[in-house]
Amino acid sequence: MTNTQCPNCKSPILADDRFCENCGVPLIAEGLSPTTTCLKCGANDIDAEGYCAQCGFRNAPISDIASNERIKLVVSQRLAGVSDPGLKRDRNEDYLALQSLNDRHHVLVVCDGVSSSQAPEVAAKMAANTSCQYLVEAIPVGEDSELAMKKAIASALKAVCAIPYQSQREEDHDPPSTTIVAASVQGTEVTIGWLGDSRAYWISGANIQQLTEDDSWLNDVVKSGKLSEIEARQSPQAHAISRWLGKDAENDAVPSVVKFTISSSGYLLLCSDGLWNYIHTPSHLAELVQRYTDPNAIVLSEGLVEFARSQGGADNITVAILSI
Amino acid sequence: MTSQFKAEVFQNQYLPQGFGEIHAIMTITSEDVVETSATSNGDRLFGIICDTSGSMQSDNSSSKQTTKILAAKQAIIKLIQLMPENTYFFVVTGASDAKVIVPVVLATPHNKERAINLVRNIDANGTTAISTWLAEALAQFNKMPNAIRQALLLTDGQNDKGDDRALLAVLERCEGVFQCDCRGVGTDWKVAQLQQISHKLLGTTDIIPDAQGIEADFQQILLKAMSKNISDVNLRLWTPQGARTVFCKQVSPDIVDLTGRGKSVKPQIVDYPTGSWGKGESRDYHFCIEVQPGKVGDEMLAGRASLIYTLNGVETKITEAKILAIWTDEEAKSTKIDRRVAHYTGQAELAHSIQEGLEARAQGNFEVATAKLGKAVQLAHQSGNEATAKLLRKVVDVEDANTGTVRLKREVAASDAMALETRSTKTTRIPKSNQ
Repeated sequence: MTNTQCPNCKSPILADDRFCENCGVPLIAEGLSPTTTCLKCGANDIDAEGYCAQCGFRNAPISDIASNERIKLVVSQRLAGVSDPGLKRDRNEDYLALQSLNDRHHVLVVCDGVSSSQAPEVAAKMAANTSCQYLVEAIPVGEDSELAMKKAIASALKAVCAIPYQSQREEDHDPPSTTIVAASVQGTEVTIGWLGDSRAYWISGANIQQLTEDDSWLNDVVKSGKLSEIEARQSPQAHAISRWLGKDAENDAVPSVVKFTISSSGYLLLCSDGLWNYIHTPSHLAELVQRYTDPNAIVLSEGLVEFARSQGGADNITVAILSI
Repeated sequence: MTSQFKAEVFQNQYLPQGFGEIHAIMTITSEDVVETSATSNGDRLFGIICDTSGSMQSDNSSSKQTTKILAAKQAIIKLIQLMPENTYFFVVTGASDAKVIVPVVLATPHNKERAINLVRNIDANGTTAISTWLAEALAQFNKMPNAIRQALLLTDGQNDKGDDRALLAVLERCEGVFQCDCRGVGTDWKVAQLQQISHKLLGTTDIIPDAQGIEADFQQILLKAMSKNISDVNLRLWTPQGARTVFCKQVSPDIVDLTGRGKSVKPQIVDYPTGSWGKGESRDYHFCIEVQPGKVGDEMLAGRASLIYTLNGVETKITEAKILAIWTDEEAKSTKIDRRVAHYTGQAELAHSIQEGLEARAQGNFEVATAKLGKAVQLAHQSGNEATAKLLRKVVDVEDANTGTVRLKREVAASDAMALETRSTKTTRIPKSNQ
């Protein structure tokens, strides 16, 4: 590992990161990475929009999705979410999908595209939309909710694997990848599935429960007892994820699935690490939520996004909330 | 610099496989909502260059009372009176030699009065050597290299034969130093000769058939000159490696072919001069770029056009637009022609038909002249270029504008043919209602 610190913001980075996860600066010297070499003429002079300054060829998909603006979804007063690029990133590689079948049945999905992979924003959008659609269709059929969750994430994986990408050298490719956290709510029964470090919380008054366990290097070493959490947080790999959706993890993309029964009123919250990076303890998040007397899901979502931005907004921030 | 410019590109980006010729119209508009009180460095310099050869002493054909020189002197006096007090000006007169009547001065009331007295004493005699006039004007303009530098040249006759080479040489030196609008009074001057000057110096050429019209025409030129607030503007075009700029033309408000005027800044980048710009001004440019054809699905940046102005060696980019090429196998996409591209292609053909028609007519080749001018009538009619259609009707009798059926008029006033010749490059824009 030659680069353990971002030259710009000094936060820890992985050896093969192309961009710093914290501040977004490119980490690989020009000419070494396939993304800075024109696929047409081989020149190392590509502008921010992907046009080669030598031959003019565009090294990016033509149909760019508008990925630099805040996405705001309001399904109802109870179900809403916001995905914001934050303050340091040029584009938003997070995505969210929300649907309500009726008062009792809802689906929420949050995805965080892996910024070191190719077309992460496309991966996040594909995964969120595909899994959400699958879960919505599974509910009326009465499919077992755990099985439906696994199949939904499998369908998302298939969609992500189908995204075209540039593989110059087989052993060196970095196909489109994303995290996923999905929740299918059927009455008081909530089924949660995930891969990576996007999280789900249940917040009822001052009580808060993290429903997911990050698939992260940090979590793995702490759980296995190899390092204490404090030691692990010092490591350059503290933010590395150990599982994700992507062609390079096809056999490893087995989601964790948990079930949870709601016994009181409260909020089901899904978020990307752009929010929880700024939450020091679970009770800290509960306090933030309690500041909002308005139970309207969009008001709370926007409030939490603003909080993350006020703390630095280093990453893309996505929050989805179902108020119960 | 608070001036705000907007650039828009109109084109069909789609090309069929194997093709690489891209056409694009770029519209550049300086917004008039922004009040720009300051010029490049706050100064404007306006030069008046007036013919005082012996022929100027002669009567004007339609107004026997006034000689051309008298009318010109009156017009110059009027210009000086109208000159804003924060403007600098000078007066150069010319015949076989040039004289600096008024060297560069600020237009204070006192300086204006002195200048007017000097202009009153101007006398006309000698022949016409325009190169000497321009050389004197150049010396005056060189005194204020950072001002917005514009001139007006009035003549009534042809340049001396022996002056041709000297004129070419002095134009090379004047290029980029000042802009110059040229006016020919009467009908004894040569359109091509004045156009050679005005093209090189990014100005216009027009006819003033009657000396009495000099004053009004001069005032219009001054008004336009005083509206300019940014000078030395270049249109910078980046093209991909291996590409060829087939042409780069200003196509509105009139056609000016800039293709040969480009100066290479570095590989792949060429600057075309556009002179000075005023607020609320809008011009259209037509680019034709030939690139290496790509594969179906490829997208290419075929050109990046930007407006750049330079002050004290510092370049500032004012606005920028992209010209794209996307290869497709869908014929419906690649066969479409952008309406603006089609319109200006038609306007260029219109100007060309008029020039060829008038040339054929002058050479006595009436068949070709009828065909070309007929085509011009048809094109002017179809594109709604009423100003040009009106000028054409003074030269031909129109039987059917739709089909371009015309007859050459037997008697045509020299001034009408010259007006058509000088103004044939004026274009119209696509009428708003069609958009």
